[in-house]
Amino acid sequence: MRKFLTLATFCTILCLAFCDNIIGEDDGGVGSLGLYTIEGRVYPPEYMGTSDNWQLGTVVTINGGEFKGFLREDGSFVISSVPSGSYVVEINSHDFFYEPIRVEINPRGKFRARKVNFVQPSQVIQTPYPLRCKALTRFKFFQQREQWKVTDFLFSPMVLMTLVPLLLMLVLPKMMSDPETKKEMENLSFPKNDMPEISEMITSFFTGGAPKQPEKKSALKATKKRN
Amino acid sequence: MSKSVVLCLASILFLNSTLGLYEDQIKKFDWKLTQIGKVNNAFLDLNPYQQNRLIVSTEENVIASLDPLSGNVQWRQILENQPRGQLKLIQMLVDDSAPKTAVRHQSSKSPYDILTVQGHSPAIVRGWNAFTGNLEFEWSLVPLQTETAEDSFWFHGNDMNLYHVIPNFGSHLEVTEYIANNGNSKGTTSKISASWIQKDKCLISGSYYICLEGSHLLALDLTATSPQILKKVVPSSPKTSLKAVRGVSGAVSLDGFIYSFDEKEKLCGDKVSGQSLLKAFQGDESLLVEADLKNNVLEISVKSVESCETWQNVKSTVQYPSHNGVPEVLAFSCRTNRQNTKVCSFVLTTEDEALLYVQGDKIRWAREEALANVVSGEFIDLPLSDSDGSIEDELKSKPGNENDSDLFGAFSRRVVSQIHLVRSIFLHVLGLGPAPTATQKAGLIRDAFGLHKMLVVLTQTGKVYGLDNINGKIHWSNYLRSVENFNNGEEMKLIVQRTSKHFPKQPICTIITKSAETKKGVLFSFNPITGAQIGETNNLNYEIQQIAFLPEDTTEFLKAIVLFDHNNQVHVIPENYKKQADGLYLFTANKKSAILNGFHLKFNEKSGQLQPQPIWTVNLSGHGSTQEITSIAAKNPIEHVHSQGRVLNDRSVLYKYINPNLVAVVTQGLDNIHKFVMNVHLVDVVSGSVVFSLTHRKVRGPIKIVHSENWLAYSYFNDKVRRSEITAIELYEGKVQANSSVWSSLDAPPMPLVERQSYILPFSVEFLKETITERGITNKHVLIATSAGNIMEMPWFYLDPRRPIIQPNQPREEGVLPYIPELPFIQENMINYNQTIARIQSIFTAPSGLESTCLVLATGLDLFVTRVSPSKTFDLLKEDFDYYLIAMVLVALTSASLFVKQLSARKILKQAWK
Repeated sequence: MRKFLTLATFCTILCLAFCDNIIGEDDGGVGSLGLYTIEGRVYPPEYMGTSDNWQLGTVVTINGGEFKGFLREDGSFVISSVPSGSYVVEINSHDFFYEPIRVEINPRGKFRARKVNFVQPSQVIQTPYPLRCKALTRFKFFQQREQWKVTDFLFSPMVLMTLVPLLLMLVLPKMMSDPETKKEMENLSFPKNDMPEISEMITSFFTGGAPKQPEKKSALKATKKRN
Repeated sequence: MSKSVVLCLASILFLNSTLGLYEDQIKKFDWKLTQIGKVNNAFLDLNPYQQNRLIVSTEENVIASLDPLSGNVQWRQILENQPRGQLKLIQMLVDDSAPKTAVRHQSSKSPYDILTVQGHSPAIVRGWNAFTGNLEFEWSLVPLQTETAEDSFWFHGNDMNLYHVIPNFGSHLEVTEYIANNGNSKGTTSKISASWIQKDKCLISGSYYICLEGSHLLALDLTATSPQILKKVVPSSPKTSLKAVRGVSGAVSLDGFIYSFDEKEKLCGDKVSGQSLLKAFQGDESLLVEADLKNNVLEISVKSVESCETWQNVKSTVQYPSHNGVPEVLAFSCRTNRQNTKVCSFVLTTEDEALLYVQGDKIRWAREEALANVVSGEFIDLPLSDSDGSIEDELKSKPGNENDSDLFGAFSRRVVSQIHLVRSIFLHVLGLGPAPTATQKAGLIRDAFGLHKMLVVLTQTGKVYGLDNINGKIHWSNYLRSVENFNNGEEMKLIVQRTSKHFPKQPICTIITKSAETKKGVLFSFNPITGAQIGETNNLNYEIQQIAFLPEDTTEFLKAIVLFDHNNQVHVIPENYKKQADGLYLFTANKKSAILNGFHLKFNEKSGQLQPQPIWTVNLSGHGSTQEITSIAAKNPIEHVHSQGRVLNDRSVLYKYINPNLVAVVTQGLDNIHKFVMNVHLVDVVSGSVVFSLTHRKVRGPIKIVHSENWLAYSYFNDKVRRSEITAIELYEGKVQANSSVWSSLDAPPMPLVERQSYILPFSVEFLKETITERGITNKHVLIATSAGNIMEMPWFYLDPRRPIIQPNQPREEGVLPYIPELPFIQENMINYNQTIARIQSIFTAPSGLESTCLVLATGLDLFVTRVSPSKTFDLLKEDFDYYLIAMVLVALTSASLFVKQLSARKILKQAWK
């Protein structure tokens, strides 16, 4: 049974190949039968302020200019006498970016339009035919010039680095000279000296003895050096 | 995690290095010439009611509307390339009821204004709106027999219908009538038997088909219901070929005589004196225009057809530039001015492809349409100004002088040069005296950065132009008559024999080309700054097969030309350089057989002749000899390679394989299994060794290739997956260099390591070119011209074949992006922004005086000149450098410090008193 199936498929493949051949020959001989017309319409980029005669600067091309379609006043175009095959229809405009569309015409004259995917050519996402091409964006050819702004200047790290110590330098002595704050500071600092550090307490609790002060200091220094 | 962060950072860094222009830099460094090509049909419409127009069609298959006042393009439509786009007919549609102007009035109800027919299989008929340039309708016709269709032609009858005629030479003509705007045929195809028609001896004039048969002119009216053969006798041996008279139906000119076959179309007299003739309507009158060129004076006269007398005293006598060659009148139109006399305008096309607009007794404007077909371009340094020149002199004379201990001499030179400087300040800077030379008067002086250059452009017709690369002004032009490209489509060459660096000696450029008549070599030398010819035009008595150059010599600073003729003989121009060509290696390539031959030149002391000795032969035709050479790419001889290698991530150096004799040869052919096969061979043309070969299957042209330093990039169309791809190859010697000081192809270093990678391109490529700078320190970018007319500057790190496919836990190299199959379409890197270049053909690059900047000329139908800086302008202060801010900050800081000093002094004083 399996053998029969494979044979059958083989036959059909052969038949198909044969059919293809016949059609192919037909095209070559008669000529007019093998040529088709691609139709579509290009839409102007409405919201982006079109120039007076955008139709003039826009041309539809296949194979890098081998076939061309020119726009009518309403934006519709035809590309006449195209032999069957697979083509990438590009819409060339000076200012606007249009997505290219792949159009496939099989030897029987059936059209299929799909999205262009160069990386995965086998992936098919169909798009309507006759083609409807809308501008995606305006081309961005230019870089923005950097403009000088006060905020940019102020928030730049260099300025911040100079400003913060400056502030400390200027403001802190003033605060220290104020008697009330001086008192407050003293109040704040007193309990701090008395309070034992929690981590130290815990370590002493677990290790069962106060760690030696000088060792810790040297360790700290070492880590600093490493940094 | 950290790796991905690094990756992100790297990509951001790279993406930030886009090379976009700023919006305010539009047209600051660049300019574009919009061309249309040699005009072959023109219709002039001058009328008081609406905008004036000059509608033209050209040999480049372009239709356009020009402004008759300035010659600027109002609109332009570029039709397809040959053969599909070949213009067979352009017809302005004239409404019989309306006044007989060339173009219909806006009130007319006709759906179209201009009708074009192009191509033969299929033939495409299009109607265009003359005002906007938009398409009105389109239909196509596929002939039943493609062989005969090639000679078919079309004409537009008086009944507004279109006739398609297929001549079957030696038997009959097939005529079919179509309704112009929808392609419906009217009736059946009629066959007119005419056994006397022959190819190349017949032409169509209006609706008449006219043939020259021995001493007879035979004609047929193709629109007649039962066509009769009309006969006229001509002098037995005509000197010129048959030419149709423009604007008339059924009239031809031969040897200065007019033969008219149409009874209704009267022509005054049958003898013409001028070279060019045109019949046209002006209002209701039928007029004949004659143009005659004598001793650089062009006389244009207008006659009435009925009375044969000069019409309304219209006559133009124009001083005609001699280099333009023979003119032809294409169109004319007249207006009545306030004094009630006629003012006529004539449109002429000339032998050197210029379009002239003559009004009254002068040329109002001229379009140099030869520039639509540029074959070669060179940027030439401008001469130094006097003051710079004297400084240069002073510096130069020191090392060359034997008695450089001569203190007094040096001192006197210095004093003299300074006196000159002072004098030149008074004379030229203050404007008291005239500029010393014509070139200095025109402002052609080298600038500090070497950005201002003379752009010498050679065109297909043999016209050479000297253009200003800053503003596009044409400073001079020369016309070489009857020259053509070499065989195999190899273009004529423009060569710089001596640059303008050697100050007192004038620079020399030479054009090497082929005579159209004798097919032998022609050499034409000129000064690229003034355009003046140097010496006589050198007509050689042999055909040129290969051209090479000797290195610049030390006394004359001249690069001698070595020519290899078709008999494998070697010639050196100038002759006295023959001895220096001893030991030179040459190679030739046969395109068809794909065979490369290498030769070694030996100078024979006795005979004083150079003898080429064949030393190697390489056959690249492949299995079954199916391959043909389609492209050969060598490196730019003026290129400098700054860095010898590439530092890897383990701090070792990978040395580049820099072989100046390496040439890439692309061969293509058909294959039974893989359809199209393309091979790329890297051949050392001194030793003849094939260094590396690559094969691509199912790959079609057009192949574009760029070869520089140690890399090669070529683009092609992949037929299997139907997309454009680009392959990049880099060659490395390895971690050790065989010989770091001298390169020799004969004791060849080991085979190079080859890195290769292919990328997908989201557009089709028309041309590839690398940027070049003075010392090669700046990065090299690849300029990619796309079929849409854009030029994209592609940084090499995108094309880099060492871009790795990402694998985790592998150390990454610095400055190498991970591999992504598709190359990005970077809009900011379009160096010509929205100024697209129609039918872009090639790009020429040249270094400027600044290391960072490269000058670019792109040619096609249009001409575009700009400059690029691949590594940004690192040696130049930024354009938007804020001088005011810096000055203000400086002033503020100094004043503040002074003020603060004062304050602190006061404070110290106060404290001292405490």
